[in-house]
Amino acid sequence: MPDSPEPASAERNPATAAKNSSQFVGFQIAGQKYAIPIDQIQEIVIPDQVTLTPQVAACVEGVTNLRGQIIPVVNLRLLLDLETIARDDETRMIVVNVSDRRIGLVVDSVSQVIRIPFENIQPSLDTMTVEGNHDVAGFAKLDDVLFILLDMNEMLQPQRLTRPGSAPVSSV
Amino acid sequence: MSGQPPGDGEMQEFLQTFLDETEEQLDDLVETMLVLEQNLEQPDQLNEAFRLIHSIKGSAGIMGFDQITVLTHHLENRFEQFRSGSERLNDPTMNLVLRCIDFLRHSNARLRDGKQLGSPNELLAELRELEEQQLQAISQQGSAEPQGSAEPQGSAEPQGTTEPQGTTEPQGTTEPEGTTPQSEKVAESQEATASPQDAPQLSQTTDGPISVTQSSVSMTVRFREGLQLADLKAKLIYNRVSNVAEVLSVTPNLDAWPEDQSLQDFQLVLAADGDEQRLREVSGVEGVEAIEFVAHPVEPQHAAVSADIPAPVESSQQATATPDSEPAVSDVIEHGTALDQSQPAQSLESPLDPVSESVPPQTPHVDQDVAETTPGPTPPQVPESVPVQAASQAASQVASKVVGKVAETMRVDIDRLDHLMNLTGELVVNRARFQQIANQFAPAKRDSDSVGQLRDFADHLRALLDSHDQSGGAAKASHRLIDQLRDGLTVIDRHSDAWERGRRNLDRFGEAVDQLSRVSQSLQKGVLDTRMTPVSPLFNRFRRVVRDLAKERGKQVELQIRGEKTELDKRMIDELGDPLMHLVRNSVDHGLETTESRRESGKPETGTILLEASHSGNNVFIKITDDGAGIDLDKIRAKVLQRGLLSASAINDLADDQILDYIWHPGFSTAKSITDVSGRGVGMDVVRNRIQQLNGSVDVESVPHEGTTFTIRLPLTLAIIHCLLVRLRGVVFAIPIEDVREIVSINMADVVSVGKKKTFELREEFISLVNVDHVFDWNELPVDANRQSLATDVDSKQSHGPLTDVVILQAAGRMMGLAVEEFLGGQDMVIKSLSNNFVEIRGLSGASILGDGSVCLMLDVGTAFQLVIQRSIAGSGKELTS
Repeated sequence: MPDSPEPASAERNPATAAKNSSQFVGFQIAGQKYAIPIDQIQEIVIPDQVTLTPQVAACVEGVTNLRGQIIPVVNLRLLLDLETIARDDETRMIVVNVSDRRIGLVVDSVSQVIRIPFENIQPSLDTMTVEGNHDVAGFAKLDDVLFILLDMNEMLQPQRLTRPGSAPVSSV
Repeated sequence: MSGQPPGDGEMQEFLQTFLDETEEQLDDLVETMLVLEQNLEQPDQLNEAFRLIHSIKGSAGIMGFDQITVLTHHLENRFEQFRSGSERLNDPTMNLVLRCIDFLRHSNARLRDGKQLGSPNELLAELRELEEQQLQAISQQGSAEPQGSAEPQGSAEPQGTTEPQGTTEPQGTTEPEGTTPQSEKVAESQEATASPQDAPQLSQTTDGPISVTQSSVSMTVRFREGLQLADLKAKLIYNRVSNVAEVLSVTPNLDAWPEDQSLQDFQLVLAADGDEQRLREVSGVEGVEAIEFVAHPVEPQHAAVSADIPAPVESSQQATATPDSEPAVSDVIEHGTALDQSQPAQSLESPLDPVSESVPPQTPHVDQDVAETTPGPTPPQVPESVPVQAASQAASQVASKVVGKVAETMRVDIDRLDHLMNLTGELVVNRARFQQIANQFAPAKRDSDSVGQLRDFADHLRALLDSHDQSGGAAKASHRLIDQLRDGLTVIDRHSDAWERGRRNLDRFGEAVDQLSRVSQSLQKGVLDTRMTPVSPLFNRFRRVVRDLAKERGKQVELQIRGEKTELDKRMIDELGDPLMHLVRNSVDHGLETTESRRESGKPETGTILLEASHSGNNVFIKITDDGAGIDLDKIRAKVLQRGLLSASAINDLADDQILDYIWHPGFSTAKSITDVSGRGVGMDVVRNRIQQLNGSVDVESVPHEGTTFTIRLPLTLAIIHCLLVRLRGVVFAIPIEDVREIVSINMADVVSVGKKKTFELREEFISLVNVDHVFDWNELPVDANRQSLATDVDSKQSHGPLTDVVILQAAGRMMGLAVEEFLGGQDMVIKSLSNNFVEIRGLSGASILGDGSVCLMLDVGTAFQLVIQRSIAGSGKELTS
């Protein structure tokens, strides 16, 4: 069930905005707002049954069936090293396309599609790394609300989805 | 007119056809050459080779590939000399021709990649040189044999007397049909009047009497009353029996057995060659009460079926009949008297001349050329072309090859078939979903009483209200209540009507689902069948490989091929090439001894390698057998020790077959010297991995001084796998039924603990018992803590209930009991890749979608064994350090 996000509030003068800005989908985790570029997002769904999978990184809940395709489900709270919470009516799964692969991200809630002018975006700080990964692409302020822009390509690399040390080895 | 591949789209299309065709022709040519190598003077084979080279030349000319045209033109001229008998084919020429074929193959590969063609000048020079040598030899021999004279067997195959144009203008009339007038006419006319259906009749009369003597054994397996999952167990038994004996039929049909009915007994009809003791052994699973054998002779039809190679679909009737009818045809040609004795031939005598005259000599090869150069489908069976086709068929029969090509076929891009296959897979998943929904409606459908009760209640209430009305004197307030009640009653009536209609619709829905599943089942089977191709092209490739390698090694090797009509999924055949190549090369290189040592040990000097395919149950078996020295176990032991894989005492503890298992170990090879073929030790484990990727298995048996046999077991198709569904740790797993040995319930009191490891006894055999946590490492997810409580724990079960369900898995000769929470029955599963969107997970071969839309995981049993061993080693290591 696609959950169409509300139209952007920041779109005041679309003609000029389109040139000097880009669109993001904003979502919340533990009270903090985050954003992902809209062109990486396939769809937003209410999470369905998830099948647990063994031998995977702790942030991977398992796999689910997205219209006949099997996609992994990543809990973004776990990926960001936060406590997990139970699913509720607000919980959504954002399906993102990352280099030919389709991955589901479980987030607390999805707020809106936002248009962020380039001038509002600040590049990430070198100190803002999670275990040495540059997950944060930058920061953006919009109407005094801070959005953290996430780099999906960096966050969802295959090696971060497998359990350390359990990668397939050829020899017995 | 250079070797540039044609650029525009249309040419590209022709190029595809050209490549497909020439590749087939090159395959045929190699085969012909190898037959010729046995005996250099076989006119029919020489003709065939000439014809093939000629058509390649023709097609290459049209495409403008000068390099190919020049070379084939030269080859064609040479063969023209050979078949006219003016020169003899000799060994150096033979080798050179094979090299030319390699060049042509190579050219094809370059064309496919869009690269420039190489130059054949070197080969041409060598051809000329050889030709001159031969000419010199002939002139030195003296002028006893004038050019163009009839060759020795001229009376039987009078192609020596070539028509005048034949030598000057090859393109036009040198087709074998045109130049072998007499034999052609006989064969042609026979085929022309005797319709193709007559051929099988001929063969049947020769087959019939032999098969009557065959008998069969019926084996009845009786289950304990009320046994759970008896149908699944029956399927298991069927699978296992079909591995050791030929199963002719099964009653009842296990695939169609309704899930909710319990199966008491079932019957297998076997070919008589089964060993009763062995059959009892393989079918004695838990829950079987009795097994009875009744031997009885079988009706001829049955025997005929069993005598046939059990390939599911024959490409055409003629194809089956040709090998049998072929000797008859050649007999007819060689001994005219035979004609009088055979009935169908008698009727042919008179129309012989008119037919052959009515077909002008030019027509056959014109049509043939068209047939070979038109892109796409082979010529349709147009009435006029029938005699021509029959003629060419007869010609190919005389040439004792090219069978089954007469069937109407069409080239289809394999990707399209793959796409179709995937769609069918989706359909199968959806069918399962529909069936599940339909089953969930079943209680509602059955619950017809409640509607009746509701109606009764409404009627009763209405009667009460009516009587209340009649008695009169009701207060105003109660009048209002009564009106409300009446309104309520109409609503109830309306709803129960709707309910009743819904129930009828549910019935119709159920029927529609049944119909859908029947159709989708046929569709699935149909699509699978289109992908099935005989293994013969794959097998025939090895004739050349074996020949070349044997020459190189100075060994005498004969390759025997059996069961080449056995069919297998096209993708599977493509994937099998490399592993088979390795095994066959291994057999020539390491398996067979040198000629000297064979002579010393009193064996025939020529070693034999047997390549055999057979079909049994849902499996295809491919065996590679050599009659060499067998695998030297002591060498393996020494190697294992040398590599430090095991300690000396551990090696001594291992049984012979366990030692033999080490040949599959990565980096293992017993060959003393490294050759370019095998001996690098990278081969065998790759072979095994490849075959496991195809959901198959490979086993080795070796008898010292007698030889080695590799047996590859493959499923009939890659796409759909019959699985046992079990619940482990709250997750549904699918286990391929081929890997399941047996399903048992064991009493936890019987489980023996050895430290932390557990084993149990089953029919005097000890099997280790593990649970899913021994196989896999799971994440602790605090989100849904209730999931954790579902985990099967062998230890906790002990206190809860006395019985635990265990599935006994088998892989590569090993066995392991896996404790499961619940058996969920059997189902056809369509494997989906996990790595498309995710990553490969070790121990899982993929995932699949269940009827309710949720995902289930496909267990890779072979790797699961490795994981258990690895994790138990790692676990004990941890214990030591802590």
